[in-house]
Amino acid sequence: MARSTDSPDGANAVMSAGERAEKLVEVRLNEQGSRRTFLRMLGVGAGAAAAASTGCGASAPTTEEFFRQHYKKLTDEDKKRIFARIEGETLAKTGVRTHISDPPPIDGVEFAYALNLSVCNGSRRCVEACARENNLPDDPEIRYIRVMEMEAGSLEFEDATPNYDREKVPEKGKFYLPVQCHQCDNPPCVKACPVGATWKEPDGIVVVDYSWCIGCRFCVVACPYFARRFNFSAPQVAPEKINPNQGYLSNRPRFKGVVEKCTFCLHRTRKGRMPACLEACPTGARKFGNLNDPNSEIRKIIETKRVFVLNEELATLPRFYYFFS
Amino acid sequence: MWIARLAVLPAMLGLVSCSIADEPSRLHTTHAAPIPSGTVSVLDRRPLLPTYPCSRCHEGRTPDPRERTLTEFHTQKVLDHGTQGGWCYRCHTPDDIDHLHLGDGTRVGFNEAYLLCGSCHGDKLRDWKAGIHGLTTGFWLGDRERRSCPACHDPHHPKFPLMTPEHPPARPRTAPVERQEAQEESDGKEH
Amino acid sequence: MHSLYRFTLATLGAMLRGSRGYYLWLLFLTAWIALGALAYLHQLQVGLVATNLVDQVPWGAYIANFTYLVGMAAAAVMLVIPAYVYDDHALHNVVVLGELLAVAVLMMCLMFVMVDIGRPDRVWHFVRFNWPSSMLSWDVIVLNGYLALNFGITTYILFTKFKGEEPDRKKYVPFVFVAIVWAFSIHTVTAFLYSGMGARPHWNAAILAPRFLASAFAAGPSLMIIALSIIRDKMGYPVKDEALNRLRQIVAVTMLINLFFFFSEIFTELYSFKHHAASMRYLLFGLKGHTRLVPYIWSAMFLDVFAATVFMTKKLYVHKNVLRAACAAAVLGVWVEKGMGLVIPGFVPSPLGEIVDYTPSFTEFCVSAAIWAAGAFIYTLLLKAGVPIELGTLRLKKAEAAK
Repeated sequence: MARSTDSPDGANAVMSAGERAEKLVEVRLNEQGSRRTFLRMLGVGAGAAAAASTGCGASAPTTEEFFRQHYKKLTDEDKKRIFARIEGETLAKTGVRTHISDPPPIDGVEFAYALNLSVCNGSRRCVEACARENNLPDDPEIRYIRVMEMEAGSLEFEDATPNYDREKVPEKGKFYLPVQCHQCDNPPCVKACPVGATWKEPDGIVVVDYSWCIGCRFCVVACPYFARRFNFSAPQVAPEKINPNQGYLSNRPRFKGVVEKCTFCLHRTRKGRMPACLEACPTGARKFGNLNDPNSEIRKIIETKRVFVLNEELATLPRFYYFFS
Repeated sequence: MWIARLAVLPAMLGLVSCSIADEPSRLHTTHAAPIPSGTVSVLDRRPLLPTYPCSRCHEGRTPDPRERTLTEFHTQKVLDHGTQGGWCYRCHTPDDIDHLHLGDGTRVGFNEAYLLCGSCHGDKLRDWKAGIHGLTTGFWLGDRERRSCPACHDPHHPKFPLMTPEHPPARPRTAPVERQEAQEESDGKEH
Repeated sequence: MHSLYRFTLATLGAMLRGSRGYYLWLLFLTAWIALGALAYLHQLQVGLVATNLVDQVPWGAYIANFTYLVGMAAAAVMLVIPAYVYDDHALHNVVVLGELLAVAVLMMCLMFVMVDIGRPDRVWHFVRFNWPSSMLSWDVIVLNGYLALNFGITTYILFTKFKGEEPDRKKYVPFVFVAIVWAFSIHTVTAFLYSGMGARPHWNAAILAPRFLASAFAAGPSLMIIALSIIRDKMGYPVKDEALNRLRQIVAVTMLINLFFFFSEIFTELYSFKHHAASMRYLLFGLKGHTRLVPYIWSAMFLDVFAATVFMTKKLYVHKNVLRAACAAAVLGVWVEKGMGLVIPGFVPSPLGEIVDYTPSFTEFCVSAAIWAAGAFIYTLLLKAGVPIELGTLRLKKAEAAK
């Protein structure tokens, strides 16, 4: 049999394994991106003009916004109206056609997250994927996930830093610990909120009603994990970066003066999908699932691995477990 | 009640899911050992191997079992795996080049490489089967895909490669930092 | 009701009439208020990015001032306790002045909260009260209740005196006793706002509420001494030396207690030198090169010690100017100790170990100064009407009352 003249070690020779893993994740995210671009194309023409004429964002609330009731008091009729209005506003302001959903918690599901500290390499892919998924602004920069570079041998945050800026990770002698909202079972933020704008849902996710929050920041003070973010100014997200698949309690457009945080991507996870951070992780350090399913990875991790939580002495009972494998 | 919901969800997922479900390379492979949960599949590795099937070149050739540095083909396959040394035919089968083999000689396909890896790295195999180790994509409620070990760990030099991290978080606007301090922080020094 | 109408007119009239000095003073205050109003408009426009607050330091100048002023409002009760509980006649005629101060100060507290929240248009959301879980919901209730109490009591006393009658002790004294207990509660609730936070080890100490009360009862009467001296000099109100001396005795004790509590905190945190003491280390010595608060806290301690020394030393406090300087030192020292010394270090280091320094921005300074000016403005107006009524020079004319 004649030998192939192509060298097997040619141009598209075997990539390194890590590159392969990265490429898989990239392909996945790009596929989602192309769908978004298609949806966006639907409104680009009018959007360009509208966006240019917006100027600085309107500060005063509309009458409807001013009188809007707390999320728990909204009827289905109210929600339909409100979602349509928000979608219209986004379309007018940015030219992007969005869809706001309000998936209810799935009966019998209790979410939990596990993070493998032996495997996390501090790549921060999760941070950026979360930002793209949840429409987090770049200016001012808001990021729900903070990856701490820890000194090996210590879980003390005083000696850790989130600001590592390295050529390559992981760095010898360090390990990496991402922190985001732990959706605690005994959440100090929920206790602190004077108007009940944040609460814990039946599936475990602690949510914020952005239209009810008065911006007092008591919850930011109360959180022991630095998980909550406040909009000190009006968040700006470039129209081409907007994720049109939005949830009322998760990644719909927020405004200045309100608090927000990780919601375990409830607009995805309540429909069976994985959170964006998990899908972006190149090393498979992140695991997510239903605590009530004995076959889920999360259950197996909790049952077989030595999991621990942060600030355990504060009895916040987080749903975010760390372990070394 | 929630079981009824489970039946409906796959249909719902079809409506809202993105192209994960349409991924062309997803195949259910046959497994020598069962993987828990029938909704988990292992991605087919063979389309990702540019030189597969090996028999395209190796059929009809006499295998040369002498341990040596390759100079003509597969020159990038410098073995850096473990301390026992070893050579290509530790895992590749000279007279059945499209398969790998276990310690006792049992043939194993490229899609079942995890069995070979697991014969030394048993605890990793146990964790991988449970879904604790390794990258999972798909739906937590629905179909999930996992990857066999070589998808992330090149068996010839398995150490997971270093990556360049994304940019660090923006400093608080009231506390911009001098470059000197930032560099020291990066180096882990106290100033 | 006719007399109530006349009362309102008369008091408004008294507030609008005055000497040149009076108008100049109000003009001075109005200038500050106008500046602050502009600054606040700017903040409404761009959001709290106009302040120097960030996620790591979510509370700053506004809430620090609020905390301090709640203590001031509580301290008005210091005048009330001796006057009513111990029937100290020397203080009787200054009690109303103290309560009027409480009214003005409480309005400042409410203003500081309003300028701090991110969405002031959503204040009506308090209808969905997270009570009893949220300490902030408690705070809103007790502060407004205390305001209503003090406003009610002083209005009743002044209104009856305006009509030329003697206020009926049976009618208002029960409320006064309620106010005494309530005053302790407003500052305790505000302290619990802080000491309940498990996430903030610098505050999460049992001694925080006692510290708050002790420091408030050191700063409040000190301010009253200064205010009463000015009222005596400028408005001819007969304030007995005994009254001022009683206040001095009170602050001598409370300032010592305050210093002792602070020392106790410092010892507890620093002796074991555990990680949770990082905030105290940041405050007293600086942490990792961040030493911004160090000069402030040591100055505050110096001021407090100076004040305590003067309050206790007869040779010093007999000199009126030395006493006033000591009172000013107490007011300022406690202000620094509570603001920079307590609120800010609670946020350093952040729960993830980050150190972010904080200094108020220009906008925050202007708005805070404006609110202080507004408080002074309100108190001036209240005194302008209240003092003449107490003195007997502002009365309902009998001919009109008979109509």
